[in-house]
Amino acid sequence: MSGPPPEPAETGPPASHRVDPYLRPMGRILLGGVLLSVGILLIGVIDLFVRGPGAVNVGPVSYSARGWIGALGAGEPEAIFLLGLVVLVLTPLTRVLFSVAMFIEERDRPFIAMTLFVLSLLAVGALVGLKL
Amino acid sequence: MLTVLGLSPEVSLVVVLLFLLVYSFVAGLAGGLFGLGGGIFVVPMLILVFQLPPALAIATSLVAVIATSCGAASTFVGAGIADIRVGMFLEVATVVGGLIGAILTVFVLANYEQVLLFAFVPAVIYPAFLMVQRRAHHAVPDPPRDPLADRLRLHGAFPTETGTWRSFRVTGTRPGFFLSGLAGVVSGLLGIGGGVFYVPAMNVFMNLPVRVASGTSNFMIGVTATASAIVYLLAGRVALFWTVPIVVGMLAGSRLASGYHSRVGTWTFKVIFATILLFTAALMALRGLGYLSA
Repeated sequence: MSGPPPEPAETGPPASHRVDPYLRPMGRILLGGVLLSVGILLIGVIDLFVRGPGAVNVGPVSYSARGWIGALGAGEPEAIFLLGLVVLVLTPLTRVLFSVAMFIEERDRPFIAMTLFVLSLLAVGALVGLKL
Repeated sequence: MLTVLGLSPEVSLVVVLLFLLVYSFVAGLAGGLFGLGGGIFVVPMLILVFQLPPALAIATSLVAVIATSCGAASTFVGAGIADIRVGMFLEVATVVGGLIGAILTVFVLANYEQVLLFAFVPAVIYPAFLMVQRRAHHAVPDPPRDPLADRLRLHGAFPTETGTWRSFRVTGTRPGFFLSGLAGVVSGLLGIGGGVFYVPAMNVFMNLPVRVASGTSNFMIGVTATASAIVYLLAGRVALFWTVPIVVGMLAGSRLASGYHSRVGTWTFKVIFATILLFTAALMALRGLGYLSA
């Protein structure tokens, strides 16, 4: 794999990059997640208009887990927005998980390690955020 | 309750949402075409126009950056232009950087607004400077040998317009890694995408062709912004209302831009946007000095 590069006239991907089966689903995950997130956000906007401008909160919003579920049940726009954003944040995360699967199938140890490290960093970020 | 320009709350709401939508659309479009994230246009706007505290504006922008990046990256990844391996390798650095940047802003610098405002000045001037550069850096077929690149099998290939695959050899893993880490810090700190730093790091130092560097950068920005956004979100520092029109607008703009792939453009547009960025830098500096606030 680290030999001389193939001729530019090649018409297919070189052996080191035959990971085509993974690329399209990965692209779809990214797009699908984003579109789902936007859909949820738009539902929240409609909800906001239905409830009137008094429901607008221009400052930062913070929920406890239970508070958020309750607010979602009550149909509060801010809670719906948060749901949309959670889906948005989960999208690249899902993509990273997909990468782990891809590297595991290729038995590529350094990359499995790197990807798991990145995932654990994201978890650290979550914990740090919750600390305050 | 939100009122602007002396209008009623109902009309104000519509006006604000429309303005944010259109502005973010243009920001996403410009970002996608010029290889910037939209964040660099959004954060100053939120601070200067809507008087949001900088930390809030930054958090809001980062969330939108995630959307833009994933929207654009989906196209590049599917087409095989984003290099997953190089991206994953550099993400180790950028995610660490992104966390550090976010933590700094949330826990330290939120109380030192001037620092954030002044930090924006170079962060905005540098892309403006890059935009008016005429020279392009072309990947060379035979760069210096890089053992780590060999060991991690980072060398790759990408499909050209004609359908053939052209290969490239990766080098400079150390400077690339280090610079990406720094860029990650700036991204988490100021709420910008960081692509303006990633692309030169990959193209100039690591010998990736510009197209691959751009595609990979888009791919990386999403995860990096996510790392920072997770901190902001769970710390309850995101103003949800503002993120909604910005996410929608920027995503739409960047999707339109990715339909045009690589190069845009006319010199005139680049000069216009570079000028806008310089103007923004000046405004942010003024705000840091205490002017322009409500």
